[in-house]
Amino acid sequence: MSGAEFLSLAPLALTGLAGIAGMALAPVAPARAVRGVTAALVALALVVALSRAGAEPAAPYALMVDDGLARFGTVLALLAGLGVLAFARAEGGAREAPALVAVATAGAVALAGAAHAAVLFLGLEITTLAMIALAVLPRTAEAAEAGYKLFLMAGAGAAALLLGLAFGFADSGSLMLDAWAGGGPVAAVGAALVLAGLAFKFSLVPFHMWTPDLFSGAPASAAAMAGAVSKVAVGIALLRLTEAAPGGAAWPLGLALAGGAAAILGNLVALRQESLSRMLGYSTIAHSGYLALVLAAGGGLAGEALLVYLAAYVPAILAALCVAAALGPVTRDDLRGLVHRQPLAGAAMALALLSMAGLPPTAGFIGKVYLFSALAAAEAWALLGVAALGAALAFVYYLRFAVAAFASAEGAPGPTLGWPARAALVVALAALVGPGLYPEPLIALASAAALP
Amino acid sequence: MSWGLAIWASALALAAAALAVTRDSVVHALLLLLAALVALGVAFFALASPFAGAIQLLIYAGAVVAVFVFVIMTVEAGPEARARERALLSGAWRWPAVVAVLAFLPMLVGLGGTADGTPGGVGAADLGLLMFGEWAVATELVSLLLIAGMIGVRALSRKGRDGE
Repeated sequence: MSGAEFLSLAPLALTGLAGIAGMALAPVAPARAVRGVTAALVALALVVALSRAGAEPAAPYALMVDDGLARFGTVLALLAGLGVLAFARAEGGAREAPALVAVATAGAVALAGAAHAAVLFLGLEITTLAMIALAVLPRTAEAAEAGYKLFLMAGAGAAALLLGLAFGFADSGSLMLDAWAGGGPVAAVGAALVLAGLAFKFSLVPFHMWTPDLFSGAPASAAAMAGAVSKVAVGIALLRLTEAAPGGAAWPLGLALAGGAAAILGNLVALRQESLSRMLGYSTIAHSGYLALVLAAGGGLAGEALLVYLAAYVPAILAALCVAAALGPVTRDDLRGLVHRQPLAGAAMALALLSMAGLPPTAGFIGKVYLFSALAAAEAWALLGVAALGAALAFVYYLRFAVAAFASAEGAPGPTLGWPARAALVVALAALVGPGLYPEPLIALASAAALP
Repeated sequence: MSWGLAIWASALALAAAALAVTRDSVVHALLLLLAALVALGVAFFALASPFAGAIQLLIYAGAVVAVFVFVIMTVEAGPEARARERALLSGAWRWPAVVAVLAFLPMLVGLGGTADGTPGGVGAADLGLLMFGEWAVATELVSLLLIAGMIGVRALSRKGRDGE
């Protein structure tokens, strides 16, 4: 194996190593040391991934590809993983949280480069299994319920995915994902099952039931894995599969139906939520829905729009969950005056909510513009209408929560934030406002990565 | 390979699986699952894949079901549970045994045989080359999957210290 080939696997290997180091240190070292070592190794993986920005593709094995899309996904997943590490806590005395975050991130990195059914399945299962363990770590009744729901749903999703992969193999005689273009009834059934399996992980309606419980019952770190790391990885896997176009017309049709239902239902239910974490849980379903709609419409802008949208959504959901983790279970009323009580947390929360709503000057605005222009460029007017309706509904509840944060100060003093959480919030703020004011670099990166 | 035997064994596996998911008792379902896995192993042998068949019998029918049985027995211990179990188990072996015997029967009377196909044996060297050559990434990812499960199990199995 040449040096370049070795380097192409280094981000995945280092992230996995971070998980192993975290696991080995957890029983013997203090929680801060466990988190520090794990985060340092993940940061090293990120440095290696960034250093390979312009390098020639060098994939040593046919199971994984090393294209621009894989690199974009790797960097985004590693950044998200580092963000989660900044606020993952020693839940219930368990110091395993950093190790689980690192292992889940390694699964996401594998998924970003998956070219083969085996890597697709393994990457998904690594991320999901670590996420389940992270969810039940506090061992409270709510956490157990969230973890159990995720476990059952993930099991059903994995079974559907495996069956779909078997049908795809039976139809094409190959397990490479790009070999599944077109096809007859067997390929269509396989594609539908693969899509159902991925929709479980991407929390598209009707496979979304675990998401709100995970956001409200499990620790914020588990919710952040589902909302950021896993969403990036599954979104990129979906984009790769969409380019291969398995099962002919069945794939875009399924994406459009599940995505449209997610965009409407997620927003409608989020509208009625008073709890911050449940609102975020339902709204993440809606964001998955928009992305599925873009993929269903296809067209030249779809890949670019998906990547820009993900890059804008990840810092927003991470900042919101980081603040939510510090606040504990809160309702909209408890957010009142947060900007005055704890300026950094309040500003991060408000900007994150504005970005998720898609208002300038945040990155979310660029994401929404891309979303709608990709749908318009593909002349998918029905899908555009559904996405616009969903986004309009989302305005209402995001603004209600954001306005509450700006209300006059009252109530208890603000939450205390450790320095890693503060640093993560500052980075997230920069990632929200920077591309919002000066989007060219992000757009250039995304369009270079989306081209096959 | 022998299509007749493969279809026969697969049909038995399907029947046993259908019986398994309709039983009320977990133990009955488990024994039927065992029978289904054994029948599936026979199907692999009939399709001239002795390696897949052996793995199927050793790992699934052997180790995995054994773990299931072990978990169920440790969850429900105690004299009255044991008596109930014995009552439940009294006739439980019949259907699974029938399935297993039916699956192996054609082989015993010489109907099966993997005659007309190539003997699809996989040598240790071939397997090693595959697992640590072309498929090395997948092998490493499987180990990562096991680590994820292991960390979770270890964190969960600690003695409760927060109000359990």
